[in-house]
Formats: sequence, C-alpha cells, structure tokens
Amino acid sequence: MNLISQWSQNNLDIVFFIYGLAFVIMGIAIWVQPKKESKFEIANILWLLSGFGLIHGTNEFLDMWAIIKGRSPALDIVRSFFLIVSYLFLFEFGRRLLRISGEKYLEKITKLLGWWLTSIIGFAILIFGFISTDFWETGTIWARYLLGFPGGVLIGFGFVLYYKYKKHKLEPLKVKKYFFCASLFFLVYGILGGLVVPKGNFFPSNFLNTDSFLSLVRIPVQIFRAFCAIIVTWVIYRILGIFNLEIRIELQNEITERKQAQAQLIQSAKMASVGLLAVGVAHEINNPIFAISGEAEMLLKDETKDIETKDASKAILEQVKRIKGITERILLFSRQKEFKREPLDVNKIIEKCIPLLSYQVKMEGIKIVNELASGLPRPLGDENQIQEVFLNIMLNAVQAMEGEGRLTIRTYSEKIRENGRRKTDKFKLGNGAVIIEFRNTGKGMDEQTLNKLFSPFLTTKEKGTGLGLFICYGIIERHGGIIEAQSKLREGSTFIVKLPIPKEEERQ
Amino acid sequence: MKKILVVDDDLAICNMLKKFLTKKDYEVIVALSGEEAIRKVKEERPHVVLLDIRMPGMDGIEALKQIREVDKEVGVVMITAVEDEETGKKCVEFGAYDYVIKPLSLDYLETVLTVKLIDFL
Repeated sequence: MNLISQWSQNNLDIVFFIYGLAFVIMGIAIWVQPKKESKFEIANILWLLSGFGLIHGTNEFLDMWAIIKGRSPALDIVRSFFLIVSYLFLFEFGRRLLRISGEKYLEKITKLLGWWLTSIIGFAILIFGFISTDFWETGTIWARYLLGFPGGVLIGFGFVLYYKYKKHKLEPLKVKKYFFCASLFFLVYGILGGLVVPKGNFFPSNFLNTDSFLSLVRIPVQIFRAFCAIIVTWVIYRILGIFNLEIRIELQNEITERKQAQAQLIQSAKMASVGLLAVGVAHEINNPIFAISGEAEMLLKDETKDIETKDASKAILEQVKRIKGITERILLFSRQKEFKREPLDVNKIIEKCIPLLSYQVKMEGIKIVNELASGLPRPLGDENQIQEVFLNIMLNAVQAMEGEGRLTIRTYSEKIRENGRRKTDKFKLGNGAVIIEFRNTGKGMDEQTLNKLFSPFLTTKEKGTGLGLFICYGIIERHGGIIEAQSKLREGSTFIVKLPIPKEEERQ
Repeated sequence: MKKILVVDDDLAICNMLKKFLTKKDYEVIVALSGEEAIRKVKEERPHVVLLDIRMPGMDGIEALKQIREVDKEVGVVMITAVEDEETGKKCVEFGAYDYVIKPLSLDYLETVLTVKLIDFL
C-alpha cells in the first residue's frame, strides 16, 4: 500500500499521460467509427463525447507537461480553459443522452433546459472566476461542480435509461454489460472528477478536495480518475461495436427478406400457372361433359327404355353434376367476371361472417374472440368475394378445432415504412396494408401440408374438394393482396390476409 | 317444321344435339366450323342457330357478326364452355338472342328454343 502510494505520488506525470492517452483514444475511436447510417439516436450525439475525450485528454497531457516542466501562469490558463471546455462537452452529452432516453418526462425537462443551460453554466463559471481572487483556480472548481459532476451523473443515468429504451434492439447485440459498466464508471468519474476538486477557500472545496482525499486514501485521486478513464474508453469502444453489428444485422435482414420475397414471387408464379392449367382443364372438360349429360338426359326421358337404363342415366347425371360443381369451383379461381372495387369495411365483413358460420358448422365449444381495430383504412375490393375468403378460412378453422377451441380474429393496419422492415411485401403493398389474422387453436398442419396449402385439390377433410383455399388465393391475388398461413402441428394455425391500402389517387 | 342449325367443332356435341332436336321434331342441320355455319345460314335459312364460341379458325363471335349480315331474322343462341362476362356482353351487342353455358340441361335448351321460336309462328 505504502509502495503504491509512494510510487504514484512520485510518478504523477506517467499517470497523467496514461489518463490523457485513454481519453484521446476514446475520442479518436468515436470519431473514426462509421455511424452515419445508424438508427440509434446515440450516434448523433457521440461527437460530444468524442470532443470531451480529445479535449480532456489534451488537458491531462498539459497537466503532465506542468509536472515535467513546472507550472507557469500562461500554462495554467490554457489548462483551465481546456478543462472547462471539456466539461462543457461532457455535460452537454449527458443532457442530450437523457433527452433521447425514451423517458417522456426527462425528454420534456431536458428539452426545456436547452443548449442555453450549458451556456449559462459556462457563463456562471466565468462570473465565479472573475469575482474570486484566483480566477482560473476557482473557475475550474466551479466547472467541476457545475459541469463535471452533473455531467457524470446525467451520463450515468443516461446510459442505463437508453439501454432500457432500446432494449429490444440492443439485447440481441449482447451489450448490456457495457452499457451498465459505462453508466457506473461515468458516475464514479463524475464524483471523482466533479466533487474531489483542487483545494479552495470555500465550502465544500475546503473540506472535500484532492488533498483531503490523499490524506484519507493515501493514493492520489488522479490514479482513480485515470483508472475510470481507461475503463470508460474500453467500454465505449465495445459500445461502438453496436454500429458494426447493426450494419451486419441490417444486411442479414435484407438477405432474408429478399429470399422471402423471391419465394413469394415463385409461389405466386407457380399458383398462376397451376391456376391457368386448372382453368384450361375445366373448360376442356365442359365440352365432353355436355355431350355425356345430353345423352343421359335423352335416355332418361325415353319412354321406351327399361328401368335399369333409366337408373343408370340418373347415376350418370348425378356424377355429371358433381363434375360440373368441381369445374365451376375451379373457374372461380380466375373468375373472369368483373369484380367490384368498393371501399371495404373489413370489420363489418367479419361480423357478417360469424352468424353465417353457425349455419354451416356446429359452434358449441368454439369461442370466437374479436380483436378488431377501429378506424381502419378501407381497401378496395368486392365485398362478396372477400366475405367468401373470410368465411372459408373461418370454416376451416372451426373444422380444424373439432368441437373445442378458440378462433381469434384480429384486424390492424400496417404502414410500410420506407426504410423499415417488411420489404418482403413492399413490392406489392407499397402503401401499407390492412391485415386480418385468423388464429385458431386447432390441430395445426405439418410443413408438407403447409407448403402446398393453396394448391388445388389438396384436402384433409373427408368431403372436401380441396378448392376452398385455392379459390381464396385467387381472390386475394386479384385484390392485389397477400394470403399466407403459419402453423404448428397440434398447436393451431394462423391465416393472414393482407389487403393493400389504396393510394390517394386510387380512392377516387 | 322449324329448322335449326347446330354449330360446334365437337362432333359428339353436334350428334347429341341433332339426336335430341330431331326427337323434338325439329329439322336439324349441322356445321362443324364458323365458315360452314355462314354458308349454311345462306343456303338453308334456319330459324335458329345454336352457335359454339370457342372453335378453331373463325370463332363464334366472328361467325355471329357475319350471320347477322346475311340474315337479320335468325335467332342465334350462343353456347360456350367459357363463362366470361366480356364475351357475354359482346354476344348480346352483336345481336345474339341468348348465351348459355355448357354443360346445360336439354330441358333448359328446349325452353330457350321454344320461347325464341314463338317469333316465327
């Protein structure tokens, strides 16, 4: 202990050098870190911390100079000047950090106390300096009290609050410990640099000062400050890593989104060709079917034919009717009929579907929960067709739940931000979308079923034709929307319909 | 006896319709293409034409236009396997009497014919 005490008192110049070097490195590290594109607001204020690091670091070099070459009044003035200016940067950084910390009241207070607060404090320090006997000495004490200490405290709170505010973004980057460490050490630095001041002739500097600190701890406070500076520099360096990670994550997202968009394009191209094929086949089938049904009808009405022939004709006509039903449903996929383009009240359509549902399936044991957002934009489309889609999805859901479960229907709208997420859908839903989610607690689907969900003739039901979702797909496609499904076996499925919000000019 | 011209590129359909209509005491002529249909309208002067729309070569719509030029009186019933609102509108515009979709019941066809043929009583 004695040894350290002795050494540090004799080698303060080295301490100052290390101290200054740490802060200068911090300043440079912040300065050279590319962060212009960052979405973290902190990127916009870090220049203040960089300024503090460079100026305060220089100040420490000057302190070292003073020890080596001896003090002079001119050097004192320069040193004091650097100290005060550096603390102005520190304080302003703390103020702005709190302002972006996401706490509403802090945002208001710090906004109210604008940049002029820092200027007034700077001005006050000048006044205090002027009216005292020792202008620069007293000035630096007040700079430490009014800027250094509060600056450290503001930054200490700021980093913790900012982390909490941006937790969803910062947590995956695994930087929590650095933020909390920065918080703690800026706080400690604020106390050591802002409260442990050079000895003055007024309270509390006559009581708590570097001399009293030395006699109590026996190690100069500058050692601890230097230690803080090193830790802070290292921590800030690690925090700067978020900007690199951010770019990497952004790139990764871009890649997955592109892949998804591509998959969606392939899917819709595939569906289009499958649809075309089905429609072509349906048309071709109608000709021979007409020939068959005509012949059978004549046989049935021919009085000279025996009962067996008539029964056979009846059976033929029965089956022809079935085929006709199938072709009619297939043709719905690419229904050539013009569909209406009216503003749709999506919530109203859903509410209309619910009573219709109970006509078709048993609803005992099934709970329907509506989470419908009010004031939704109105997509353009054909109400009957959209109702058909909703009803189809709801029917499937109820059937998948086999008499027990919950169907949650949620509506909301989503603006697609220019630079934001959801680029996947951007090529289609440029102006945002009204989204309708149908979540059921049914038996769910395996991946294989999910992949082919919208293809024609896929069914898991005993009496299904496998055309329901195929037709839904066609309808939503024609509305310029997207229909997709997520599912987990035994956990349930979610169907999501996205309808484009019309642009201003389309609305007329 | 009323004369009916059946136009369809599908021979099975022509034969079936011919059988049915003959039974119902109509005189039936068959054409397997649009061009043939126009010629037969000129030569045979039928009361009603049952005209398929989708045919190779001249399609039903074109045939309809040209039949109308030859004979303003003849009733034309379009029969199609392709339900399409646009085409339906076009048919009416060019003077078709009705537009029916395959497969249809012969009962219905008979009703359509009966109603149209009242004009020629």
